[in-house]
Amino acid sequence: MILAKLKQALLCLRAGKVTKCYPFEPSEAPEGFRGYPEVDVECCIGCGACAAACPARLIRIVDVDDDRRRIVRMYERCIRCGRCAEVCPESAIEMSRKYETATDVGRDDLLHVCEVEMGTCRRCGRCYEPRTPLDKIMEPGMRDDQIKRGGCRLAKKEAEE
Amino acid sequence: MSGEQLGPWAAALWTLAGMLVIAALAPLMEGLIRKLRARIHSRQGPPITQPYLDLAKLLIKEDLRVSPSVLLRMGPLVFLAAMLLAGGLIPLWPTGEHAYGGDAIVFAYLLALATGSVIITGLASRSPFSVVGASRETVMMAGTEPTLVLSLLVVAVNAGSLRFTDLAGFQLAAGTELSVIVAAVAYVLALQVLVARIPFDIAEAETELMGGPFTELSGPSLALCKLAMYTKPLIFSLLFLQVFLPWLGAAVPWAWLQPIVVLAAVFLLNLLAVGVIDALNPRLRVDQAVGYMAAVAVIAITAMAYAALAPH
Amino acid sequence: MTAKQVLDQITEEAGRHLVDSRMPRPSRLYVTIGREALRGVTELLFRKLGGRYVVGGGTDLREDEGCYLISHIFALDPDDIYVVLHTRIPEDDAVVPSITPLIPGANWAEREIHDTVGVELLGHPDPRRLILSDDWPEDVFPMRVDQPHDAQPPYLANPKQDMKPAPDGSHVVPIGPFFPVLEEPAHFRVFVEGEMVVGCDYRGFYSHRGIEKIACTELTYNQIPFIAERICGICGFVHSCCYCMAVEEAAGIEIPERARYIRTVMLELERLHSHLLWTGIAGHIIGFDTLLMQTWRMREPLMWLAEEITGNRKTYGMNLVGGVRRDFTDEAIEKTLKVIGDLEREWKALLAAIPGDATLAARLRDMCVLTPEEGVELCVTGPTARGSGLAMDVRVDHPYMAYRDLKSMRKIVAREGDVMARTMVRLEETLVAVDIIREALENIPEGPIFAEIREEIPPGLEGLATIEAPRGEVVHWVLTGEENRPRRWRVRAPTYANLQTIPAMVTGDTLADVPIGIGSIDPCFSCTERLEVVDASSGRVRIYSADELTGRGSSLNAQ
Repeated sequence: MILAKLKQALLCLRAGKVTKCYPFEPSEAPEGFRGYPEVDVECCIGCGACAAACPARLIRIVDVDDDRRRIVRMYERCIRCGRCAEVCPESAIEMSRKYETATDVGRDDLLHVCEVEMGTCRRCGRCYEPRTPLDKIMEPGMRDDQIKRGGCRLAKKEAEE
Repeated sequence: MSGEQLGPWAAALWTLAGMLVIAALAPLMEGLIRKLRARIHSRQGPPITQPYLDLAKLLIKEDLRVSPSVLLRMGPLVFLAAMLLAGGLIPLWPTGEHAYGGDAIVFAYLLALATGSVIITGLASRSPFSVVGASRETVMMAGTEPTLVLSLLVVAVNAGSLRFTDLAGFQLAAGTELSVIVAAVAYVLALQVLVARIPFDIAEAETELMGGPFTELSGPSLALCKLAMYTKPLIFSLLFLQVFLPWLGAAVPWAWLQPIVVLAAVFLLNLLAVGVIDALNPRLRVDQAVGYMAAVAVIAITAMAYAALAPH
Repeated sequence: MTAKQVLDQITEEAGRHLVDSRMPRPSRLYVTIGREALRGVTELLFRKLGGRYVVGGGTDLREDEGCYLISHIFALDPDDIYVVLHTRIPEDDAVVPSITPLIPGANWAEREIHDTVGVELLGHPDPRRLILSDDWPEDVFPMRVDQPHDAQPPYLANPKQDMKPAPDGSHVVPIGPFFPVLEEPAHFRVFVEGEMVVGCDYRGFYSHRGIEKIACTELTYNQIPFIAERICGICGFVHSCCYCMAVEEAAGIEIPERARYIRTVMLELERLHSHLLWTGIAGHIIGFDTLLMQTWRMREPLMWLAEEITGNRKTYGMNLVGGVRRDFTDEAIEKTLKVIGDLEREWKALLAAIPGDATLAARLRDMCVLTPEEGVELCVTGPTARGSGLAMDVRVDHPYMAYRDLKSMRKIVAREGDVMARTMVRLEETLVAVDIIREALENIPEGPIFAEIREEIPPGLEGLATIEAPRGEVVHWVLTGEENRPRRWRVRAPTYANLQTIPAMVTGDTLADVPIGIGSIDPCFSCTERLEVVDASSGRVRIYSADELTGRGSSLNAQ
């Protein structure tokens, strides 16, 4: 009995102190951590793949008028799954290593809005190809100055045939 | 010189001083035990002054009472008062010109009063958990009271007096009596139960009974009970040193240094024995504790029998 | 015994009530029978063939076929067969015979069928409400298709709880819904005489979240793995894996070999962190906080490893229908081997320190015993079953992912059926998990990690998948539907089966043992509760009246 307790005590003391005085000491997340998503608005083409893929359904696509599309993200619902970053055809979204996103300023602090000038693909209207049929894009679309980049769905199909 | 030479007012003042010392040091003892526990847990732990802050915070909170019963109002008060007074009876200078001290029987009665008020608080709280906690406390008291009283009585029978100063004086003069040694062993084995720490914090078992008898207390009532619980390691270790091992205090050449050395030894004893055992064990069930307490009581009874029958 | 032989026996028993049957693979038998034959076939499967009841569910097919589909799933573990028994109930005569009198373990599944689709159970011994809250209206059934997912019935303050009364001479000690030991809300109403427990009633399902419903109404196939992962706070990966496996089986998607191995390694990593967590909780329950702190300290490097490999400590987010999202780099493999090597060393040291520990043994031995007979009647699974001598483990009995190839897998079984037995099963399993991870990483094949999916998944296909989670067998059944989402998704977590054993386990022991008894089945309450309709963001706030706080108004403390 005493021997068992001594073995246990040894196990405990060998480890030393393992706790950190966070938040008085910083604690950084490792490489590859899925933290707060960051959107590079310049790259966004308004295709809506992120909105279709997001499990928390926090991304809303609002067409302000024929030329302008607003992408509204309510990050208070974000579960940091990283699907938006994964499906974005332009790699415009990156999962940063930021995790300290608590705020006392109000909900708007976690509301992210970006506006994109939309153009019409001359072949098919607005369209974009998802990676697998299970990631169907609900709100297809393409940005005005990037019609040549990416790929119109019809054009791709024709190229295959 | 013994405490008999002190007048009643002087004795009362010394006792009050003892009470204040215990009340002031008990949270520090608790803080150090927590720090040791944290070290065994491989973590930093709260600062050693944390219990003072806890008590201060509780004192300013609302005392939400589940019933208007006067028992619920008095219970915590009596608990703390009885514990402190019992502690105050233990001399910081058992012998010498400053010697003062109480009576072993009064000490035992005060402890019984303290436990009784815990039981009453539990029963008056009317929650199923506090009632079970109160019943467990009764069992625990019934198990340790005999050992405590008998081991003190063994020394008393040898010394021919019930006063702590005389018990200490006997020890210093006579050296080591076999019955006293056996009684001391029983006392040490009972120490963890007396201070109600794991594996014997059964009455208050947090994960089984929420808070035991203290479940329904809040604010100042809870603060009083917590402080009373914090005093237990101090009181029982101090009693052990001053009655069974008075040589430690007596060895110190300067009178003003004696209580400091003794208290330091009390702190050390509590850390190494009470604290370590508390951290390295799970809690026992009440029926398992009864078995243990019965075995320890048998040792105490043996010591008593020898003391009563052997010629001295 | 083969599935064909089972089918023959069922055909013989059901006679003219056999409607149709399918055997898409040797381990899956789907049989549709008329409700008249239900009791007979159930008795055949349970008693004669020694099958284990897994779960039942109700699906509302009134729009398509004018009926309700009631399904019961059985497992024939020694033969690696799952039998799914379907029966169609006409909507104007929505009554089905209850199988609980034959199989006590079917009690909850049948009550849930009633709560979700409103089908009457004829002959059920305890037809109380199970998963819906006490103030839920009588005639609103969440999984009916015409029931919107965001309906909010009126809120009732202080609804009456339908709990069993205490037997004569005993009084009630409520363990829950607020109780320090249970990390989640659950109400065990324990009847005691002094300290001796004479009975127990359970009321759970306080934290419903509407997962099955929302998956079938709002989410798509590839969004569901993320909500599946959040069914449980510990074994999330098990659920997302099992869901993806069920859909992959239904749609006939074969995932690449490397993806299988990756899923296997992550499943075992999850088992490691779950068992270490449980050991800590068990220690905390018996007052041994040092065990809690130390096991959780040993567990922490696993969480950091997961964070580096998958992006998060616990919600790995690795699964999609068709494969896994992130690959293992060589660096990641090396790191994993190092972390589990360190853990193995410390764990062996811990195991060496346990046998001599008398106080630990005093709290864990010979209490809350579950006999093998009780285990079979109540259809338990996982370490709870293996601790009572019932040698069942989905990884060996119904191999999936890479387990067929891995030789390190072995079943750990103990005979005593007490808390100590279940503890030792989990402690030993931890070492087995380390061996499995090592073997899998050393033999992981090269190749892609995602299957090519060329077309959308057609509706009307069935898929069943099971996984040995740390707590036992997890079952996901999927019926594919329109609009890129399932028609019905039924999840059964192992705690669903294991919780039903609590009354039997704690009766006869003392009150002090109830928390560790409950803890010893490793209950995962959040796994058990996934079905309800109210929108989670409604944020209901309950204000307790002063009367309630001071005990004068509360109905919970009264007998």
